[in-house]
Amino acid sequence: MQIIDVAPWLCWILPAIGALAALALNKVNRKAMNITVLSTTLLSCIMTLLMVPSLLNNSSIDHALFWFQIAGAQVNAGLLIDALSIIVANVVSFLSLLIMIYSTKYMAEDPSIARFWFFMSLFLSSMLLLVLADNFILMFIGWKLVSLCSFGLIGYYYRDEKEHWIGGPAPFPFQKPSRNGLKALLMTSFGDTALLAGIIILYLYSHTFNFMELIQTAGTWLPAMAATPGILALTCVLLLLGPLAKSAQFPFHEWLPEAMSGPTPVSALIHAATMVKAGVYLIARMLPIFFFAAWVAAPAYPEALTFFIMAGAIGAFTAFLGGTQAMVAKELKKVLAYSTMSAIGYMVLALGISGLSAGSLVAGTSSSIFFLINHGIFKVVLFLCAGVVIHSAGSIYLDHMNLSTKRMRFTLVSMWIGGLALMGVFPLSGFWSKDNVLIACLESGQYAIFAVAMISVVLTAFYVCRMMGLAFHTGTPDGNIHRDEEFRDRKLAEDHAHGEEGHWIEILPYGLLAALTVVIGLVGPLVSEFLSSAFSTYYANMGLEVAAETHTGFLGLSGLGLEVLVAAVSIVMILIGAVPAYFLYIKPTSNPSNLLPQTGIRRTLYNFLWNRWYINAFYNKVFVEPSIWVSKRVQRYIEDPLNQAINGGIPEGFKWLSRGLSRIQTGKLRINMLYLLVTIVIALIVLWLGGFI
Amino acid sequence: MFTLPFDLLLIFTVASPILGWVSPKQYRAKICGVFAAAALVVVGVALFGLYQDVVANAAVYLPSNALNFATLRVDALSIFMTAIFLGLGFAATIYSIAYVENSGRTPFYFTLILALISGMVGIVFAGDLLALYVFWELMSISSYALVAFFKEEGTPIEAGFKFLIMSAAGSATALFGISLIYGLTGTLNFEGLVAALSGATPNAWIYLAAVFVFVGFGVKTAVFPLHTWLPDAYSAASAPISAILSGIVIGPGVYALAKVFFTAFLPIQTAWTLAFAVLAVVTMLIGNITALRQTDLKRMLAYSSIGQVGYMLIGFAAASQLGLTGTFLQFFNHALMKGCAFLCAGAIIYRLGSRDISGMQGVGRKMPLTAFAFAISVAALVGLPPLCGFPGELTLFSSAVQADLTWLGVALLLNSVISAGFYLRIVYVLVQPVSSPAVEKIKESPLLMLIPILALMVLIILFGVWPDPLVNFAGDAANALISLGGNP
Amino acid sequence: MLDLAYYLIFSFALYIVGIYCLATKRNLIRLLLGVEMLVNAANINFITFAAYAAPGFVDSLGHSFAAISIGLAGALSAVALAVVVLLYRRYGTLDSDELKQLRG
Repeated sequence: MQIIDVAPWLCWILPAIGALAALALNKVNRKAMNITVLSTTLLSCIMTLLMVPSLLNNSSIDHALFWFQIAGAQVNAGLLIDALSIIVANVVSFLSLLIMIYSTKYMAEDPSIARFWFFMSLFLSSMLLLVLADNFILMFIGWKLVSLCSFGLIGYYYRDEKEHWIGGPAPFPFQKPSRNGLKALLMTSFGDTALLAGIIILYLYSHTFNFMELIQTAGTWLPAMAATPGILALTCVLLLLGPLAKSAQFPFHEWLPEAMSGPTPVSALIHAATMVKAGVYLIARMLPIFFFAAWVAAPAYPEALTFFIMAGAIGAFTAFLGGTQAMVAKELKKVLAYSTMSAIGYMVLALGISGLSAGSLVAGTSSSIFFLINHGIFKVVLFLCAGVVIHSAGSIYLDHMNLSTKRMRFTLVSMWIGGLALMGVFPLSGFWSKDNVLIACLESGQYAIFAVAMISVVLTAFYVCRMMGLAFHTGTPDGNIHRDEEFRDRKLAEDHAHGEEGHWIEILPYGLLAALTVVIGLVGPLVSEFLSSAFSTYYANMGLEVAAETHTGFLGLSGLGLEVLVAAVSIVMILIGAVPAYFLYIKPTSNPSNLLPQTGIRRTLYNFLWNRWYINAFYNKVFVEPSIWVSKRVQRYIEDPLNQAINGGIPEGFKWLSRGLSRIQTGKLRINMLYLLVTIVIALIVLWLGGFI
Repeated sequence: MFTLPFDLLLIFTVASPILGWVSPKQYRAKICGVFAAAALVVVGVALFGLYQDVVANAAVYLPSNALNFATLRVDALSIFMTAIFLGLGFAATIYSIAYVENSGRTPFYFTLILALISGMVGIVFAGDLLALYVFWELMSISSYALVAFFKEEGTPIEAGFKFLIMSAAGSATALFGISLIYGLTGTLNFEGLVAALSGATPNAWIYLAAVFVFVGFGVKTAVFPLHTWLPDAYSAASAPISAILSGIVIGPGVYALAKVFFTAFLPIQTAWTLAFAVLAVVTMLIGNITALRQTDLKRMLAYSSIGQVGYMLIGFAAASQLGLTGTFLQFFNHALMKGCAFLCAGAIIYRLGSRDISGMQGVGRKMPLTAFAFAISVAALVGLPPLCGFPGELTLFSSAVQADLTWLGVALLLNSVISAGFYLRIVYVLVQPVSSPAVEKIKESPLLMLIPILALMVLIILFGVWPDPLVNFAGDAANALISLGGNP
Repeated sequence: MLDLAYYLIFSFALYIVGIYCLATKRNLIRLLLGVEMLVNAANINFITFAAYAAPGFVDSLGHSFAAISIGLAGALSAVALAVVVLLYRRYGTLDSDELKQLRG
């Protein structure tokens, strides 16, 4: 048995053990608990690294163990190790390790940290299970466990102390952490139900849950599926809704901003780097099936294009949506949340593009995954820095942070690196990945999506500069901590605000990642080439030969010329976004709020964006409030009477029965023997009457 | 003499009091306990060797396959049952070490446990009704003594006596039935019975024999209306004994009924399947509904055992290989789940000093591991996946549906729901905040009690998540029984 | 020898008497005797069937079963009497209706 056989199993089992160990060691020794959890995470990370050689020799291995058989359906517990799962697993475990190191210091004063470690470790385990699973059922188990951990971590401060409320500032409403956890769970559960329905429909036609088998036998079951018009399209939609909800895409994006009520490491790990990428991963997993259906199968099934159209459209729209909302957000973590939404929109749209024309399969997938890797890294940098910033400034609101550029140099530099990478500035890693996505758009001829993506670049540049400006560059350079009246009772402000740099344990992870961002940026083209070839082989192994590109490029350019053009255009867009932000926030020539009159079209637009396009309000009005209204009516007129009848009546009935039956237990031996005699007599009588005797 | 595992078991049983006699008083409990536990382990290892043998040939016979001798016949079913007897016996023995005190009588406690297990192993190893009856008596007499063992309070002795009279009456009735079978066929060997009766036309005597045998073995199996001794005996006995009684002593009853009904009474199968179906439902309902009102923790668990026996009878009603697989699987899992539950209950009562459920508020906070194991075993008893109760109930339900007895399957589900009513009530009480000073003072269970509890809990989870090997094993066991009787 | 039926009727009657004794008598020792009667009814059956198996031939299986069963019944009585002694010491009575601490 080689290490490659054991490593995948160990890598998701170890963090689960770590989670249990955290609970067990809680009472024993806090330091031991921290070290145990970190060691299991480290071992898990090492295990994922050990899988990388498989990536380099381009193999796809399915380690399957027979698990159970119910009603003729056999489900194996197996792990699929191929290019996609190895890359994502490595990203997940590496980022988790660094974030957990950060958390040891960040959460040091929290009294119930065992719960935190438990959920974080369990999350890592289930995320790895999700990524490595070889069939839908096992993946779905990991999927739901991840939701569970997310719920537990968003609602970590479930006692709803005032200092943990987000939203506001007054007079805007606040949201409590416990409610936010529930909101996240409910919204993602919508998607999960749809996903499960899609999986079941797929199973009914294909009789397998296994990913490899699905793609290999696609030719046999697709005709039957496509014979009923609309089923294939329906399955596309259902299967897509789950990942879209998990990845906070429109229309299921509303839970992500509220998810920021969890501790910052949680936001970094779950809501920036890993869990929200699970949706992207699943879309990439399911891609080959629909690509086969749309382009390779003969005859092709155009219904399968629904998958890609939907992914592309929703991804593009969310990228735009997130960007607009980030421009006006008042809280630091909300800016980052909207920015995550927007960035994932990029990844989803890239995956959508990979199927919208026959030749862009590899380009779309590899650019999306490259974006995933880079985004994971620099978003974690941004979030971890945000954590330190929030602790330093004593407030979550950008308007109240006037941090010193002198005293917080490390954080400042790291955050700027992360921010510039997010904007896509050369030569950081974000530049290459963003441009790859844009080039893929152009090459496959999706000009509408290209335009939307370009506009998002502008928006991204604007909000990043705004965020950095408000956090660090407004106010006096040696940092007067701006304490606002209404936050005087916020414990955060009292305890933490110190304007000082973070502890070295906190700085190390994001410093390392910032350096990594720069390094990847410098070797960007090489990484991009590597991913392209890896995915080429990955798809070739599945039998999806990529057809020659049919579009001849944009304006007659292709290859290097196209790349330079796109790079130039994106730099222009960045400047369009950054320059106004610079003058508004970094070196303000006037107070930015002067730009915003109390009435008028600018104010309306501002309100529109500030209220999140009124989507949240819409959901509340259309879904939440009527549900509550209906539930109250149902309770009064239907449930309560039924309650009396059933919940009162049935137990009463059982109690009566039970009392009666208790009386046969007289405790007298004679009576027991009498029962024996009576049994024999009755049996004989029955037999005699039945004619047997 | 007999097969190696059984020989070893008997030797250890006989050696146990001698060892206890020579050991110093302050270590007596530990030495005898460890000896008994080691004995079970050794026998388990020997059993594994025997298992290889059985797998190779269909069954192992001793001394020979002649029709007029008392024989032992070991097949897959025997190995299956013996495995769980040894397993739960081992857990209960380790647990007992923490429970008994050092006195002159302690070696006899462990001797009786070993004798009880020997009796049960003998029952499942028996190849004919004579051997079965002899070992049945061995098991019964040991169990009477064990129930009444802790004679300081009055209730164990009272329960022991009632149990004795009723169970002895049952054994005697079974003996009467066996004598009628003997009169019918002239042989007692199971294979001889099959040969003699398989094509026979039913006459009155076979029905009579069936009634007596059913009543006789049914007393031990606690089918309605012969179950009335069970709540008293199980709740009054000490915790490890309750675990053994409830977990595994039900087994020989089910086994004996299965063996006799599927070999000797094959000709009248259509008649007794219906009877078993009705009795299964009634037993389930009686057990679960009476449990709803109980306030004594152990009594409630005892009543729920009656309910579980009802589930096991569904396999009889289905009378197919799938049905018997379900029965044996449910028995195995029930042993694990109920054994764990009784051991946890015993630990809680040991620490708290009272058995009243309403006084147990907050125990879960003080004894977290015990309460967690209890919650797991109770969830498994309700039949929640992915714990081990689920595959058993699923198999029973499928077998009922397959045999056109869907109403039985529905009754099973309904009873699961009812049982959740009283099980979850206990868990609810356990996790309340601590309110009484008595609960305030207690600590986690002693280590020797905790180890078997946790080991059983791990097995419950393991067999739930990975049921396949166990289901296959139970399927082999059921097959062994069905193939003995020829095809029904 | 009498007809087989007479022996069988006798053993059935003995069984019924035994069950009746268990169901109605309250004295603990009498209950023990009742159990003994049941066992003996079965023993009589064994002996009878052994003798009537084939003309002129006695099946030893029945006899051996009867002998073993008598031994087992003896063991049972020993244990039962020990329990009765304990009960008498604890409750002070031999009346089974007085044993009512466990019920419901």
